[in-house]
Amino acid sequence: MGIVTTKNLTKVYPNGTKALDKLNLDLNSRISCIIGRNGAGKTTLIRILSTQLRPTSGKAEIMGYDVVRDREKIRKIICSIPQEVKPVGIASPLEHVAMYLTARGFSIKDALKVSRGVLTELGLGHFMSKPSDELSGGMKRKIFVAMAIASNADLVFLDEPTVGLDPISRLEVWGALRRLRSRVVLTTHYMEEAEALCEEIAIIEKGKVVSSGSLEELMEPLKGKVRVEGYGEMKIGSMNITYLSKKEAKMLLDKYNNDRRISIKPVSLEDVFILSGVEVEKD
Amino acid sequence: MVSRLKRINFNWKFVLVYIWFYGYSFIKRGPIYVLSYLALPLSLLFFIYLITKGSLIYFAVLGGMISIVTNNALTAVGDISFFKLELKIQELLVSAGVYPIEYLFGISLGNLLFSLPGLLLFIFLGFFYKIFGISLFLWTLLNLFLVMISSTSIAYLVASRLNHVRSSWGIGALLSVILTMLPPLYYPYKLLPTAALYSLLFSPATPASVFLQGILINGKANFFYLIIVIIETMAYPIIALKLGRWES
Ligand SMILES: Nc1ncnc2c1ncn2[C@@H]1O[C@H](COP(=O)(O)OP(=O)(O)OP(=O)(O)O)[C@@H](O)[C@H]1O
Ligand SMILES: [Mg+2]
Repeated sequence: MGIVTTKNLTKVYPNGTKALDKLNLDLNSRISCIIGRNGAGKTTLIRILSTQLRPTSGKAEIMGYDVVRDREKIRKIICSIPQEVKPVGIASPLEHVAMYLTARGFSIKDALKVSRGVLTELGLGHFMSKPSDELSGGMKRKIFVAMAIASNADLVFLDEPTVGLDPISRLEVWGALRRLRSRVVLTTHYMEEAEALCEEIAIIEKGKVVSSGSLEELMEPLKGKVRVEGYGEMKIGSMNITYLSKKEAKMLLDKYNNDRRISIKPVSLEDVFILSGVEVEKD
Repeated sequence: MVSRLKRINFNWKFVLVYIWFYGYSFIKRGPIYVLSYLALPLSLLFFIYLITKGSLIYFAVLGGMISIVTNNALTAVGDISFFKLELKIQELLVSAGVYPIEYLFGISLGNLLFSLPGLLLFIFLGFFYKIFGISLFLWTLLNLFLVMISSTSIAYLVASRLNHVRSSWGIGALLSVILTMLPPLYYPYKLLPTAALYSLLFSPATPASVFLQGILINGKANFFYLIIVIIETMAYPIIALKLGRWES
């Protein structure tokens, strides 16, 4: 029984947009990550998995429960933080988190205690009783990350949890997520985040999973290669990119007499992402 | 509804905390709202006092209370749609397993908190002008409670079906006129032709007001209207939960 399993999951919005197109996914790790370009369908997928949105066709299961039939059971075991959720300006971070925790069944006393602890851990200690509209953008985001961390849910969905967080705050959030007992499925546009945090990564593009696996598995096709910028057929924005073996890259540099416009970089998840995007463009 | 409450294990703790979240902190940090609910009934009271040389002041006080509660519930149209469409707070609560009926209660009672200062002022006026005997006073409290629940249900139903927050303000204002200005809150219901009275009964404020005016004028209650208020208080939440959109 997977943590998240989908079979031919399809979502067509009322306006005709096909956001998910027979998507098949199987996530089994403690922390998994979904990446993909803007509009790829990540949020749509998370919203279906967290029983917010009904699929048009296909199936999705969370720990063996069907997202449509067993939605009330699923809601008891998940916590889902939407991408675009915003705090009520007039209410404080403490009020938000405590309200959320009582919604999930905490006693009022526990909710307050746990909320205070987590907000302090995330650096909002001094701000927890201020109206949220006096907080900065990143602090507002942290209110919701705090809910997820405090939730004690079996499975936590986080749709772009660390948007707008400074590097130190981001490390704090990563630390908190690693210490969590909950399983986590998150989406992100930060490749370092996926690399640092996730045991399993799925790349989705145009509503389909184009590749998935551990970081090592995804990097396999690029093994022994380097990224060469300023050369090659493939164009990203105004930059040409190609992937060559170290030896080929060295020969290239020699040939072009160490031309400053050509540079060589180690490959990372970003390159897997770029290549999978290009693959889909070709189809 | 009671059996459903049992089945879902009604989460009172959430409702309490939601009242604190949505009611108390709003009042603490934005007290102007409390005044805004008072402005209309107080100015009408003033005009009615001037124009009728005080003779219809009784109606204005009773009707003012119903108006405060109903209008308060109707501002929830704006809040509910804003929380749902803009802030996505409703989405957060849906996946946390909150039931719409708990949300409805949280909002109703949170709103009641808003109405309290105004209600207290009108209760004071009611005793000051010797409108209230103890029985009319208790009947009034009961009716206010029922009207609060039924009107909030209407607000939830309307709000949950809107696609743009912007529509909510206009609709809230329109509903306010239909549900509180037209019904006989500020004037004796006997001025209304029967057909008009019956057609206004869909607004919970109408039967509540007619029932209370009956006690005020005739000294005895016409329970037909109370039964209508009670039926509406059961029917509107059920309709709202059935037809309202809780999930996206
Ligand atoms: N409510 C909606 N109605 C109609 N179409 C929608 C709706 N929400 C999303 N879409 C469309 O569905 C597709 C997938 O959107 P989705 O929000 O799932 O992408 P995403 O991968 O989360 O993107 P991002 O990285 O920008 O958050 C897009 O083409 C988008 O325009
Ligand atoms: Mg998204």
